[in-house]
Amino acid sequence: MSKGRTEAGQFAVMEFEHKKADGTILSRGKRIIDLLGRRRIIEKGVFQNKPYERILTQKGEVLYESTGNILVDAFKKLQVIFFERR
Amino acid sequence: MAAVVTKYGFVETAKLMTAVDSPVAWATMALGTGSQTENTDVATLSTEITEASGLSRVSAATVTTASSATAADTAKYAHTWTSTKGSTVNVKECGVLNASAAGDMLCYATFTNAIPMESGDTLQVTWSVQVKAG
Repeated sequence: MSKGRTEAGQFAVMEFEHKKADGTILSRGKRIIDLLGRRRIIEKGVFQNKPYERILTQKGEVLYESTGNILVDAFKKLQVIFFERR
Repeated sequence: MAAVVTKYGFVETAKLMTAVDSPVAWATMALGTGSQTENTDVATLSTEITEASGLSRVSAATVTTASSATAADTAKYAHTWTSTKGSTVNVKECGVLNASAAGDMLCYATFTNAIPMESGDTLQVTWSVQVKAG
């Protein structure tokens, strides 16, 4: 899964993959430090066989989260829009 | 719950650019069982794994450059650890350093969900840090 490089707008990326000895993937994901002041973190991954995506601040505050069937907290989504426009 | 390139990483980069104060490039990677608020002041892992478990600090298997926007503009560090410990080790943090002990930490991240490493489990971590104008 590892690309080993950054993409447009990204500054640094940490990717991880946790496997059992038989090769079964238990979890994997990546964290991205983007170029917006290096303050917004995008995390995508799989946990317990469900995909998830989170956007966090550098302080670790979750601004947006989607898991499984894309459950979105409307309030957090509004926060993301506000955050993007600051 | 984030990831940072530390201020110590930037300082050491400046030293490497000038060869001042005997700078050392980054080539080791470490895991830990603690966690801490991530900011650019983070100098060490909160609770680095040092016991014989297959999960302690290592010379990274891959230390190379990769191409993002320009050829070889990205530093890439990667390693796969295999747990040999009989009991579960909950890995919560990782970092890239420039010494086999102590040293300057280039970058640091915690895992939002602790990774329960059981004997025989593997954990691959790949860091990519691009040098570019911010």
